[in-house]
Amino acid sequence: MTLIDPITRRRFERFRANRMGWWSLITFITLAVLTVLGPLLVGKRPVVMRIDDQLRFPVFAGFISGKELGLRSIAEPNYRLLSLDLQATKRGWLVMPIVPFAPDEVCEVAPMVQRDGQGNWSDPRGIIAEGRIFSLNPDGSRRQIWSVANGHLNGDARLMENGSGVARAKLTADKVTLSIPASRQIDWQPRGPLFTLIPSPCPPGLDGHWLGTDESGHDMVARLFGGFRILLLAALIYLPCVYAVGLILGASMGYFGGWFDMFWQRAMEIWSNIPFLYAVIFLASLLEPSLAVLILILVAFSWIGLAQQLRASAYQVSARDYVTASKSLGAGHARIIWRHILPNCATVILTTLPFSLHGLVFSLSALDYLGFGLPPTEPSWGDLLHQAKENWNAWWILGPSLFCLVGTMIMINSVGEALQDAFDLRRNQQ
Amino acid sequence: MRTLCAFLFALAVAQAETFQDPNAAKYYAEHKEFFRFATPAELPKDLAWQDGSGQKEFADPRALRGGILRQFTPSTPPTLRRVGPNANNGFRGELYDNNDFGLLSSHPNSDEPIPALATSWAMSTDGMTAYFKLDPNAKFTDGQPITADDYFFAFYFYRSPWINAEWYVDYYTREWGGITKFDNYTIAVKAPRKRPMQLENLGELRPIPRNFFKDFGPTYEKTYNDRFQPTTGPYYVTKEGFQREKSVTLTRVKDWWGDHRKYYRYRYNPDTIEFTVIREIDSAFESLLAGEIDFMPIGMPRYWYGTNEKKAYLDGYITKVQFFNDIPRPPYGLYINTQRPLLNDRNIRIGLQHATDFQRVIEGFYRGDYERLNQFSEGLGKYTDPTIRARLFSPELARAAFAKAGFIQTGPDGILMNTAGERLSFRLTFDTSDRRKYLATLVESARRCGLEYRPETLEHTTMYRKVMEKNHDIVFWAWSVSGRLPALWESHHGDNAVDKLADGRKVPKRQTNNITGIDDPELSALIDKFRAATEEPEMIKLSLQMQRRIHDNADFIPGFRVPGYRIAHWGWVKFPEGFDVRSAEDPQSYGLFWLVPSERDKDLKDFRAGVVRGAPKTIIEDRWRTE
Repeated sequence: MTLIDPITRRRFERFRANRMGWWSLITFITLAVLTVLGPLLVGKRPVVMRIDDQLRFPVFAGFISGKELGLRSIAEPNYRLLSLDLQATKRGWLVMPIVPFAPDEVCEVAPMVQRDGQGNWSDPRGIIAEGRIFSLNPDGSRRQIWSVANGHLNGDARLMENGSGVARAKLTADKVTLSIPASRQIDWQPRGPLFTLIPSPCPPGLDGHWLGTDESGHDMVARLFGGFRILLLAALIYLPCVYAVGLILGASMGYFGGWFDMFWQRAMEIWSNIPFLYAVIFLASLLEPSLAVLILILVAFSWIGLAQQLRASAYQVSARDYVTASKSLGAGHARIIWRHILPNCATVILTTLPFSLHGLVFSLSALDYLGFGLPPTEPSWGDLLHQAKENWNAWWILGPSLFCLVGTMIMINSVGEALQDAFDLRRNQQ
Repeated sequence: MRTLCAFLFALAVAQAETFQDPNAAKYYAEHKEFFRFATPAELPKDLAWQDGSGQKEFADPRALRGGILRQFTPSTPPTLRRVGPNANNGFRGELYDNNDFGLLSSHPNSDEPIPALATSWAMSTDGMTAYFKLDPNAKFTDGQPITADDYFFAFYFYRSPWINAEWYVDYYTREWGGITKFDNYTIAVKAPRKRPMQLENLGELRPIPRNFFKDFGPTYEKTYNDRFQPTTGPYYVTKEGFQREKSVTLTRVKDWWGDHRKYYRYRYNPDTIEFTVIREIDSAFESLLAGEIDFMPIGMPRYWYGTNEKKAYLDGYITKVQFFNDIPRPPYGLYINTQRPLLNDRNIRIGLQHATDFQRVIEGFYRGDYERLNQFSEGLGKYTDPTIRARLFSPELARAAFAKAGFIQTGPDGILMNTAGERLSFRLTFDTSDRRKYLATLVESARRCGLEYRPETLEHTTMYRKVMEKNHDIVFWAWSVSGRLPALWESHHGDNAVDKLADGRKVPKRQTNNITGIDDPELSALIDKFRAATEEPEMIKLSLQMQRRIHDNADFIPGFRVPGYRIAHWGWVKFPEGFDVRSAEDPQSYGLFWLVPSERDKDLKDFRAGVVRGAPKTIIEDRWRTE
């Protein structure tokens, strides 16, 4: 006895025959599973850590105070630095996730600078055209800062103490022309290990950022990952909600007909005439723009198409004999809808699912691109596109985010088409 | 014959009396102790008249008149009114503040008084009254001659309830002691009390055009909403010049009274200034690089450093200029609404100070170009307390302060909670400009201290309205500052913080500048004493005390200070020797630049053809640099 009935099996075979759709589905599911693993793959907390002969799992434990780990500060330690520290002091080791950056973590890339034969100051990207080099205090704050133009010290230099500038100098072509206060003898020659801050967005390859950083200093890979996660989360909320509303209303309209159907049809007409984008922007500016609120707004404007399709389907099914038979047997409305109408609309539901998802990804990204969706601190592919627009030369922002967005939409569409093929909707009903 | 009659008629009309508002006359009669009408014979004989001619002229005599200055604005102002609701918008500076003069002005380099609408002045021996002889050639931009009656009208106008602007009612009632008319061009202005810089204060008085306000009354807000109020400056806006959401055009007065006066000639040289609406600063930057905008502020690091690789700069057509000025610094930073729950606890505010890492924003986003601001009233010379320092970022100190407020337990997400289960979480409001990019840094740094900032970016006007309605938690904001004395009444006095309702409830007072809602009786008392003070040493002492109190209240988290301005300009915009004056906030403040339209055509032609003009130029003008 087969567990799966032959019709379903045949549909599955037809689906698999569509190579594009099949592999898109495999890829999508793989990525989704990886996303579920979330902080184990992409994050700033180590997966496992051994410290002072204690085995700990910060990725599950969450926030651990620095004091608990024997450090000076109460704040959560920077685990990437802690890794080096543990090795040096032989207190233990830790294993970071593959991408050791969190999506919302601001990373400052500050490589060391060198001086070449001609006396030009340069960082890993080349000679410094316009920027600053600085020396550090033991606690990591800046000690002395020099302005560099075209590889040479040109412009301001400052000496910092306790976070404020206490002395200033003016240098031209590496020579000091002015020093304030004059009463204080300060050595303005750059000595010791010197660093420079690469302004975000940072090109790929530095500091372990495979695809560089975005405008605010977030690691790109982490950001793309976080964006995908947000989309999946959104899908988990959006799809059930929109289908619940669309299903119940659509099926009811098709089943009951009459004034109920007419009333809701008119309501749907009026509702669909509200310009979607304007309304969403307006509502998003009134309410707190969290993900859940945004999804509910999108649901409110997307249930109509579904409802209409289901209504058509339900109308057809309601005319069938078994429905009449059930009614004459005394079955209630709810039972008929649940038991007879909906299962026969299942093909419609299943085949429109990917396209609803497509619509969601598109709308959410479009809103974030315009700046009306999630706040800019949340990872989002639309926001990355917005940044790409403002930073044309940062190809590492535009390329990957466009690739991911387009790739995802193609995958979803392929699955959708394959499903349509499998369920025979394009060919005539037999 | 007909033309002769028409000509005579026109002549007669021109000589006709300017409108005399009967309501104003009644008002003057009702307040005889303030408004005095005297005769020239009553003018004191022993006055030592000065005309301020000893100061150095600061405009460049090489300046040429003419040309169209092309500028941009993100949006047209909601109203052209000078006062009243929504008049306090960003565009007002271009229309009024930079385009108007009072009796006296201040030399921008030396701060000494120089004549403006008054050609000469004298102080009474008791130091309480200043006498002014007005320039008989001075006219408003609509052609109306400026006479003594316009100064009287100013008081009637600003004190009326119809302008719906309490600050002006208070200012024109409290800060003036009286006005006397001797004849059409001689007046005396009395002070309300003894105070330092008495002459400068009395010389601040500006006339209001009586003719224009023929229809002044309770309908002021609506009637005058879209009408440009004539000023004493050189530019005005015609009816066609104001195209809502498209552009605002300023036209130069043909024969301005300042064109023949020392200190005012060779200034305000363009014939027309066109402000086209360009919503996105990015698009405006592209317009600048294409030559459609003549010069533009490029303070933001993205534009300042981004220009380095643009063709117009590399080919030598656009020059970058960093100009250091010496003015009081606008207090950029986070303003905490102390009337919100939890934010009314000082310990929490101290914690917020230590949990906000502006230094990181300065080093990262601003690439170290700025310095940390230390307090609300910086750059006021001896009136600023140099020992007040901003609280440094420190997770330890932040957590200690939050613990004092009862937030000891850390939740599973790393955010502190109190015993009632409330999370330490506040809304942080920014506008949609580039600045919203600090949000990531501030939010992340705060998280390390157990604090959650929930970021919110609003379109600028929406943010402005939200803050004016006192609906915010914490907002990034700055006030423009003018004058070299601290002016804290608007932003820190308790009177501007709360309104008492009929049933005794206290609600935040809307549409005032006290956006932190601070209602500290001790600070309010100091502010009142400061306003009433007469001797400079006492004023300095009070000023330092007020600043210390504000620092202790911790309602303002100081951000950064901007030491000057940075612009990029095309070669056909010429600047005077020394580039600009000490007190300039931007090139339009004193209008010393001029255009050479023929050079513009040639430059654009060459640029579009790809001709390399020269090496890229960046100029640093630090003659007036103080810090």
